[in-house]
Amino acid sequence: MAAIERQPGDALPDADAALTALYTAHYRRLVRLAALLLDDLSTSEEVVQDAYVKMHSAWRRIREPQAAEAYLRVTVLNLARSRMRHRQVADRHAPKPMPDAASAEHGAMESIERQAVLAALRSLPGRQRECLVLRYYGDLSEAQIAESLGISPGAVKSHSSRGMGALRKALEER
Amino acid sequence: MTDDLESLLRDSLEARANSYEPRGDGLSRIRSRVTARRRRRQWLMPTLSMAAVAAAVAGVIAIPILLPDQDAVAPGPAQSNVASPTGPSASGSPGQPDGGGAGLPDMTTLWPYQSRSQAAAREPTDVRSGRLPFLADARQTALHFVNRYLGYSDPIEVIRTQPLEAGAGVVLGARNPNHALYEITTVYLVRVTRAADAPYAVVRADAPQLRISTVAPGQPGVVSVAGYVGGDHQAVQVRLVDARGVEVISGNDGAAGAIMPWRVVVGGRTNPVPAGRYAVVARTLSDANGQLNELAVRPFLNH
Repeated sequence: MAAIERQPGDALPDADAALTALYTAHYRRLVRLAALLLDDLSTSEEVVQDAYVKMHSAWRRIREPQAAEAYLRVTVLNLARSRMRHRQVADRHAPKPMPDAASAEHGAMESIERQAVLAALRSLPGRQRECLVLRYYGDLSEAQIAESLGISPGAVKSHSSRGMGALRKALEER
Repeated sequence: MTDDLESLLRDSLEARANSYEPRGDGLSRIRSRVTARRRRRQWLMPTLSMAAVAAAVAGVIAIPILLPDQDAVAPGPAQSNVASPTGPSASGSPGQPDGGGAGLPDMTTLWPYQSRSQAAAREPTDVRSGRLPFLADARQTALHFVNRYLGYSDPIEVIRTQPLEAGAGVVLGARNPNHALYEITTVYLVRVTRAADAPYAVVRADAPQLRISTVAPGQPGVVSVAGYVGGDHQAVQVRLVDARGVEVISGNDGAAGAIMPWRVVVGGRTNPVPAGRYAVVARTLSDANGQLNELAVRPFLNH
């Protein structure tokens, strides 16, 4: 996933060059990661663009492609969580959508079983959902997930285990 | 079943993710926001830069004669919230402007003494006896202040030292993952007497882009701390640290953006800030790796 491979002795990319390279390497996947958490493409694009602007501004302290990737991921997760909280408050006052309305438009592309998994995933508490998305979409290790979410590896294990248990139960009860 | 479920979950997430196709104008949108932010900063930064230059110039002139009600610490409703340097804690006679007869005006200091006169009185036992030998060196005093007193264990180092009349400014920094140094803070120190080997005491610490503008008591047991932050900082954390280096209270503000005002209110009915003398510590929290970022410190007396 790393795009800017740097050899020892190479000059460091400046912030503008790094922005372009990191955009090419990670933008699409980060938008999709955010969309899996937010279920909204437009908001996800805004969140990821915010993260890139912040990364550009913080480049003086980051300066390392691997650190920049981690910085982007953490910022996207934090911003997505913040949007989610705001939306939860707004949703309390909004008309309720039809059950599983968000996935209906994709129904033709996904099997019924996949829709059931995704519906169950959406019903999980935030941390459990984040751990599972980072593990099974982001392909991150427990240690990387812990670092990204600012929690301990033990907590990642616990959230993941509970999340998988809840998914299994939801599918069995169908 | 677990493997099946894992496989199903992986496939489902991948399929759903692939159904989200970002628009192709992402990079141009990011670039235009970066450009707008840069323009805004170019317009705003001279204001902060001028303030920083003024502070540095004032530091050269004013640090040796810094009065206790400086540091932009707002006075309380009825009285100054900074201790009188000639009050009970000072060793000199009340009203005496001289710091322990050392030929220097008295002033409030942050650490390890509360005032220059107190330092002058205790200096023979603390420094010359070898109890606190590092106080004879401005760089070592600045490092001890951040690492030992404020309790930040991050590996910091001295970038440079600016000699000031009867004192010094020590610029401290840390290294990013590429080992490049960036500035964290400038610790301002004064000599406690005119002697060439007199120990140093810390007066304040200023950060490149983080400023504490006011520290003011509000309702009983409540302290409001406000300032400005530049650059990309997701949050500002404020701590009140007592004379022993113990954090009594802390709070955060989620400032974000180019140059933003921030405000943190600590304390309240359930956890009032006790009366006492504190170091008000503001730091920015923005690095993904959790490294110490910018740091500003002011003295404050809560009545």
